Amino acid sequence: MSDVWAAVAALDVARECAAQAHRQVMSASQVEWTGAAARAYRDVAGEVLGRLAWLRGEIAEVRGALVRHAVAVEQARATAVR
Amino acid sequence: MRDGTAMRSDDAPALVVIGGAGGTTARIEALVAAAQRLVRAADSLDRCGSQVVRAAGAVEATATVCPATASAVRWPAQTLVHGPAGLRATGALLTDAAERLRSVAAGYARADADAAARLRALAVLGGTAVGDAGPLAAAGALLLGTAALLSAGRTVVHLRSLRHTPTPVGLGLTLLGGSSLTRAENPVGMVARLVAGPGLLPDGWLPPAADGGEIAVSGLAAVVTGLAPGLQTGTVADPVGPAARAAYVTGTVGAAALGRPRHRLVVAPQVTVGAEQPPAPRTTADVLRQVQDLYPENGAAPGSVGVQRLDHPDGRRTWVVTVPGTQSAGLHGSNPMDMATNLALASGTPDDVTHLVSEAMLRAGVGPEEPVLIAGHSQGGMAAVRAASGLHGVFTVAGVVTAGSPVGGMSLPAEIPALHLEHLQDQVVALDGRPNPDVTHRTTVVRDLGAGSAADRAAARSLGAPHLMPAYIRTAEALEGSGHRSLEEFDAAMGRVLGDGSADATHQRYVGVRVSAASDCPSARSARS
Repeated sequence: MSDVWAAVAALDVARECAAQAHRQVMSASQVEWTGAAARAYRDVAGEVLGRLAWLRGEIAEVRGALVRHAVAVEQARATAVR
Repeated sequence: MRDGTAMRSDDAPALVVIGGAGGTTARIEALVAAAQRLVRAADSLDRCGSQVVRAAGAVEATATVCPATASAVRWPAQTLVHGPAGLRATGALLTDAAERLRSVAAGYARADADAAARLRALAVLGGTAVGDAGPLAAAGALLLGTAALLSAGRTVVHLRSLRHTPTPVGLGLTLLGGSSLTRAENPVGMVARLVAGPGLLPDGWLPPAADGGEIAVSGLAAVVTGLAPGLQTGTVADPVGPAARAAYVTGTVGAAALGRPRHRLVVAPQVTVGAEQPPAPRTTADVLRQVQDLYPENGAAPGSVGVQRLDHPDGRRTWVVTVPGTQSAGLHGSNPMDMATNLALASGTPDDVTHLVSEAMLRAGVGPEEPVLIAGHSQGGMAAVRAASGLHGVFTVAGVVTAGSPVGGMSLPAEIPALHLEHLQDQVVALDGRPNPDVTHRTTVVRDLGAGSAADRAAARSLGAPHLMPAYIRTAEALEGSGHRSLEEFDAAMGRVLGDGSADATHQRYVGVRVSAASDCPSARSARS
């Protein structure tokens, strides 16, 4: 696997890590707790979940751009060899 | 688990705590578990960021080949990692939230402990006042209290049985038992849960040992202490020890008055031919299995303790001493593991099981520098703590494990780490009338069996099973790999005794038997000489 395709694989790992984080925060937000502090905590957890959803979207975008770059690099190298 | 912070196993929701202002309810261990999950989420984001940085590095290395596509990756990757809502900032937010959550959980734990301490002080004050009023008043108060409890229980059962009757009361109870009302955290919700739920008894009708049991024991012990001559009200802080001492002295004097001769303890190694040697233990659960094997119903002689020598490949020699719990409900019978020993242990007077443990260690040849782990169940755990304290300086006690033992009132030198396993539904651990000390060298794990496996849940519904060895062995197994710092430190200390399981293990049982002080037999004489 070339270095750029290894970078794509790294982003796949990153995507899985972000998904893990999302699952952990989702689980942590469902704590049995009432009162004012609990509401504040749920607000923070909700904000983090929103951010994580955005981050996962961003990772997907970066991965798409990276795949395009990898294809372009491969094509350029193939052309250079010919 | 308590080691300055309240904490439980991540996957075993346990203690229900009600505390704080404004009707706040929380499960402390659920908050701590949530904090752990947030930390893990932050770790995941950190790994995520590292992977993105790695990918960005690979892009930079090939940027000269295709600058346009590399540029399309570079800036989004930069924002993804370092942007204001990026991976690093969100990870920091998660770490901060986890820290705050832990702090809140610790606050709730402190509030809960304070409330329990106040209630206990009130129970002690009321109990000693009743005792001070004299034996007749105490007996009357106890009778009245018992009658009131029975009457209240009968009323609850009666009301719950009316729920499905076609009467106005039945209709009212059906409405009251609606799910929204029974979940309400207010007096109406409490009444609804008490009288209008399914079944004849409310859920969780037994008080948790950590709260109700300890307070009730303190109150009852205070009544006994208050019966002593002179005004006791306001002078007694911990009535359990004096009450146990009074009961022990009364039992001993009563036995002597009835003609029972004074006794002494004879300790002898148990000779077994062809018996299978237990393997070298590696975990707390392994050690507790050895304790379980020492009960007579599992084939051991009554009054047996185990001493296992571990010869490690590196030349070190360590020891594991195992002590089972109460085996006889009598006082001063031939088996030392009886109620007299319980009272002696609770009152701080010399007891036969601690004597048996120390005698067994001496006879087994435990060296003063050879690390020893002492583990016990119920009474055996109390004896383990007392033996560890008493033998400190004589032997190198490297750790103590207790399961279902009321050891809150017993001290242990700070050099000896201890692990105390308790179950929320085990009423025996409440007999010390106080929580275990919250000190760094003693880690207490309180597990709610109602939130465990099917076997645990079945045990939780029983009065006796939460105290038995199988449940405690399951609890010890559940703690393995929990990742909590207190448990890891204790496991490290225990590991210095147990090693990696490759030690050559030699097990010997010693039996203690009480005999009349007047009698003597040649074997005992020769053993002593």
